[in-house]
Amino acid sequence: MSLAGRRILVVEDNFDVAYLIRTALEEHGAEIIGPAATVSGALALIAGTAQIDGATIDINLGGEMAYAVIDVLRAQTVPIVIITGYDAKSLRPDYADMPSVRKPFRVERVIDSLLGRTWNSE
Amino acid sequence: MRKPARRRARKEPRGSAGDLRAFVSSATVSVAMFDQGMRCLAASPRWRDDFCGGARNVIGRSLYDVVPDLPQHWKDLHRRALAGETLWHEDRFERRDGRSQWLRQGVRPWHGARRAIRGVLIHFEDITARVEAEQALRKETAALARLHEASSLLWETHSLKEGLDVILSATIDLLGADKGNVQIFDPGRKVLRIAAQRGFEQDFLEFFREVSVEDNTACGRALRAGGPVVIEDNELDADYAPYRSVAQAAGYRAVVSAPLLGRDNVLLGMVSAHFRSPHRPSDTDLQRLDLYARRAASFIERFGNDQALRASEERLRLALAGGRLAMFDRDIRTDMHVWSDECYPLLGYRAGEVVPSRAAWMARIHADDRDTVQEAARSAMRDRKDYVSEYRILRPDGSVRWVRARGRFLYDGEDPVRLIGLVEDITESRQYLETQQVIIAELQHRTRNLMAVVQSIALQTLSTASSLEDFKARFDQRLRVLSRVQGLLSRAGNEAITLDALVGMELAAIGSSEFRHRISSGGPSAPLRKSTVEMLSLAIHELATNAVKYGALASETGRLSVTWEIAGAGPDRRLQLDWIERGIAPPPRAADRERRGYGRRLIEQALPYSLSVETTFELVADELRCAISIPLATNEA
Repeated sequence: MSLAGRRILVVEDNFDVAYLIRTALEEHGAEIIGPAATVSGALALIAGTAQIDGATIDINLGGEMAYAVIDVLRAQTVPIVIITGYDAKSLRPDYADMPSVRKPFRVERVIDSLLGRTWNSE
Repeated sequence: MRKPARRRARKEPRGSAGDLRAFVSSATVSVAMFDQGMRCLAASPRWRDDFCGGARNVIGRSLYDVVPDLPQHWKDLHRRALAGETLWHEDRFERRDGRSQWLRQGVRPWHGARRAIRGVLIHFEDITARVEAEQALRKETAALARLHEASSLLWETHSLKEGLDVILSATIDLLGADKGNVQIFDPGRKVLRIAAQRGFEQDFLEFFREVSVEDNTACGRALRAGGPVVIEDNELDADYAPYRSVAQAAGYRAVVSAPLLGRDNVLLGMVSAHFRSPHRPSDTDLQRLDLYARRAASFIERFGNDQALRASEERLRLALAGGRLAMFDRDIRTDMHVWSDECYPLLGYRAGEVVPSRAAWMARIHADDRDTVQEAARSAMRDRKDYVSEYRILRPDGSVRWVRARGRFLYDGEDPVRLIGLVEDITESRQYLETQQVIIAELQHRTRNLMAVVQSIALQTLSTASSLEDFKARFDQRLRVLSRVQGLLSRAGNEAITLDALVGMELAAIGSSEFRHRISSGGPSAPLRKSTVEMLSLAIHELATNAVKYGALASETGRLSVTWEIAGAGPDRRLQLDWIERGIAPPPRAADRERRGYGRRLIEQALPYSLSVETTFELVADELRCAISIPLATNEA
């Protein structure tokens, strides 16, 4: 299970959680873009980056919802994993079937998802 | 031989007269015949007995001589009859022997040759029995009419006292009594108490305040007998001895008491009538009394039931009002609706503004919910279970209320015929529920976030720990910071956490009382955004811990100064925190800087990461200077 050579965008507003995600992904060989703490920060990063192979998105960025970021990435067919502290049912209906994991998460699930392996949403 | 024939013809009339006299003499009726001068020509023995004292020699004498005291109006009758009228007359006649009779007399003229009036015929019928019967019937009818009137009066009275007074008056009237009273039975103490009276003084009322079944008063006896009791003369009644003096003072000699019995012969009370003189009521009187006692008993019963019913209805009305419940009652067959008072304001109508109807109710249900409501009713009918439905009411002023309706269908066989139920305004509790749900979701989110943070701190602590012991100690301390912060957040509720509270908390945690003389801290009470509290606490904790281990508080000569102030204006107002350690001995070496790594990363990277916090960190010679600039809380983030 390796993310070697893959560039993963991390969008998370909590520093410690971002640290967790990036450390875990880096241990599996990923190159981290960001992390970005806000919607505007994430959009700026996306605009300025040529190649994004995957993204982990925290749905609630300091009170602002990250749907705009997801929309842009979806349009670019970037695999996305939503990482959230809320129940899956609190996601907007048209995003409800996207891959998501609940905090605290197991990094294996995140990686599986980024690599396109299917599993049941937590 | 013509003469004998004539003689024969003359004899026959004379023979008839003789027969006629014989007829009259043996007649049992009262009849007499007079000539035009009212001289008696013939009279039956009966007539002679009735009018002439049985006198025999009335024939040929004028009636007015035989009966000098004949009433004038009878003479008028005779005169008119002599003029040709046939008359009937009824009146009362006082006989010579003292008896009085009711007589019906017929007076008519009798005719001779060529229809000439020759005199009058008078006959008498004794109609005493009939008249007396008629009189008795009239009296009875009048008494019954009075009874009926008195009963009707009872139906119109609305207080027990009024009703009892009516009962009493009617009884006294019916029996021709002088005084009376009505008592009500107290089943608890098994005594009768006077509730209405006429004609008595205080002494009597006091003496007979409570009468028990053992007493030998008329009412006591009536209680035992279960029916009316008569004491015709209390002076002669041996058992009445104890009460005689009171009776004398009150002025009565006779008493009639009748119990008032309700359904199933339950004793409700007693009615008594008192007479000044000794008295024996007739059977008719007693019969009427019995009839009336029954009427009175049913009044008392009905009154009691009415009271109970009114109390019950009032109780229901108050309960509904107090419980703020609206009640509806719908007759499905007739589509008649009954609404309690609360229905109107609930639906946004003025009291009585509409006639209760399904349409009027539906009109106020929110358009989106009407189908739900109808389906709920249908399903309840289908499955024969209670009807429950929650829906919105849209009032004309635009306000929306959530209500819960609960009801029960009543069936006649298969068909629902009635729906009765209650409606409650649940707007507040629904909002509360919604708020609760939001809070719970938030709490879950926060908790899960916190767990991820703990995961991260464990990872970070592990990477810089020199040993498992070291990890355990540091991790433990950092967890405690988080715990302290959670405590602060819970206690504060909706209020902001201030920087002084936070600094105070962390300095206390390192045992600042030990270092009292070497720490100076102070600044204005400044509210912090909730999102910065956790990170700031961790940062200050690291600074404080490091100060104790390697910094100004590690030696006797070091000094720590923690101060803050508010700088800038308007939306750019910021809180400036300065953490200055002086006289660090021995001066920090490279290795120490490593050990400060976690804290440094916190201050230099974590704080600015998402919180718009600006920081500087300098560790030079024997001084550590850390400056943290925090945006002030305007509204909570």
